[in-house]
Amino acid sequence: MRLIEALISALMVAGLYATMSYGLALIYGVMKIINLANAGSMMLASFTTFFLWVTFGLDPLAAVVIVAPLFFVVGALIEVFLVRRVADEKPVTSLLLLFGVLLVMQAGASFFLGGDVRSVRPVYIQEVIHIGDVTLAYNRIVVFVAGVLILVALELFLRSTYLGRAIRALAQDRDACRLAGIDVRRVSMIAFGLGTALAGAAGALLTAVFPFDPSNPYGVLQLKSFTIIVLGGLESIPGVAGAAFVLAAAENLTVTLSKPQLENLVSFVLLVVVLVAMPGGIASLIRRRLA
Amino acid sequence: MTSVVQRFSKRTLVIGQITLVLVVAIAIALIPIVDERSFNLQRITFFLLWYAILASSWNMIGGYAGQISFGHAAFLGMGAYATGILWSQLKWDPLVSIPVAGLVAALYAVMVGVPTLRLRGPYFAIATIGVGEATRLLAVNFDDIFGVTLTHGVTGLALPNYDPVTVHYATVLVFVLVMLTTMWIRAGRFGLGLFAINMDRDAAETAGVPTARLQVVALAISAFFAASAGGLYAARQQFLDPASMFGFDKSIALVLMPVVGGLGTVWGPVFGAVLYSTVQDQISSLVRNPYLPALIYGVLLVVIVIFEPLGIAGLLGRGTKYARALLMPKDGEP
Repeated sequence: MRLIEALISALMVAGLYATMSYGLALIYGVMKIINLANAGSMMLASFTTFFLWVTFGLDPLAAVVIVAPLFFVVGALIEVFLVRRVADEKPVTSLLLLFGVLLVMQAGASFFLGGDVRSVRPVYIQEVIHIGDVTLAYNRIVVFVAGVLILVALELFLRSTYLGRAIRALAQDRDACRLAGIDVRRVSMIAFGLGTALAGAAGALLTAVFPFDPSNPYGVLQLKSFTIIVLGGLESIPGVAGAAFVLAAAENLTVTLSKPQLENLVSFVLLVVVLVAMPGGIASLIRRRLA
Repeated sequence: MTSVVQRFSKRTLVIGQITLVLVVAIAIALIPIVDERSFNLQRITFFLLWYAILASSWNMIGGYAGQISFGHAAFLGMGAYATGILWSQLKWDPLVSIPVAGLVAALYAVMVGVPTLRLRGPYFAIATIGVGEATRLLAVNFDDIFGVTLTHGVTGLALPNYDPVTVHYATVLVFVLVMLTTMWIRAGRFGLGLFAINMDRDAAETAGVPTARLQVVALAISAFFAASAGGLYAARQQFLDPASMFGFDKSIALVLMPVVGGLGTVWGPVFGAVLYSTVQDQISSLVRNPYLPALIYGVLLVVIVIFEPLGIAGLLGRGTKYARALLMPKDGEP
């Protein structure tokens, strides 16, 4: 019974994990850049959600509708003013640049807003739902459903619109896109904006589940999202959802069956195992079996 | 004729650089002899050299090979804890345990490097974030997990006393060693291979450069020196805790110093270390807000990456021809 409860609980967290990792995978796929500022965008989004809640009493879920577009703009601005300047340099350069952006975001938030732990407590935070013998926290279900809706909407956008197809094409072959007349710069900007918007949405959703301060739990979540995209294959967006669940389940089982202190070690161990055993992630493993 | 001039100037350049290192080292080594009670100056110079050692060690893999490590604090902390544990439990003199600790960290680096450095792309950078965090967690929870009292978790590890003047000399020695190593790598075939990997890995591989092996060796040497710095810290401060040794802020400092000073140059990391330790020292006494330094470093990092990729060394190198030759060998093209 504990096992089933752990797995369902993992599924709930996986919605959040997938949302935040999707943004990272999208940006990597299109631009071949690891967006280290992802955690910073999530954190700023959490604070925005917090202030919306304090000032207007806006529910974190409703806040997603405001925060995600806002962070689309933030991401697009970062791309236009910073990332674009180093697009043709070595990969190291963009990594260092975005690391700088992350530092500015985190230190800036601590500097101006203080390092206190905040939490958003909507009315339903204490409520639980019983399904048979399994007890589930209401806020986790809500966050899971919201995460799934966001991902389905994104998947539809990427599959059925011209812009979405352009983004996917860019992930496959940049030069071919230029030949086909796609405005590569504009699409890159949109992809970076979308990735950041996803981080923003994840940051807003996170407030309904975890308390936060400018550096926690974002550092750990950043590591987890790296594990997820490496596990899911750096460019395979559907792989990300599966990987998010695998990681969440592995963590939950570790906590349930072993020691809670080991929870955050799981993602690292998984990362190394994946890098050693299957560098292309689960997706490439499946592809290899099918081929 | 030109080749004679070039060779002559290259040789003077090498001799000049080595002389510079030795002059700095001797000057700092003389401090406790000239004034036995110059404790504050000794502390300042210790940390100056300490940061310079760390920055130069990071530069060997991050600057030369272009593989950014966001978890170098793992090697630093491992060296510190290995030295501390050997000193407190087995009564090994720190001067003996520091090289041993360095080898332990180098071995750890090989374990991390072999799976991640053979892959193309940002896998190494990603993995190092995990390595840093996992090693910190291991240090925090070691006693709980294995049931052996070794790291004392978050309470920290208190060590027996050790003569700070001996540590001072040891630090000067390690500084000279790290500078000679970094110059040797920069000048020789090994460094050329690393730079080739940094510029174009495919081309390097086609030209017969054993890319994965060179990078792993560079990482191991880098980890060895970072761990030695950790050991020196353990012997000098006689107290270790996971937050200060394995903390992410240490890893950040290790990225910042070489990048701000001049990525891939010999002297850049030293400039970065001087700037960092001065700012660290001054700002905390001037401004109460503990988050200001990090904010300044972040802005500095963004500005440098965009406007002056060779950092302070690049700026200084613009001055004169000699400065250019000294600071930006091969015409500023790392």
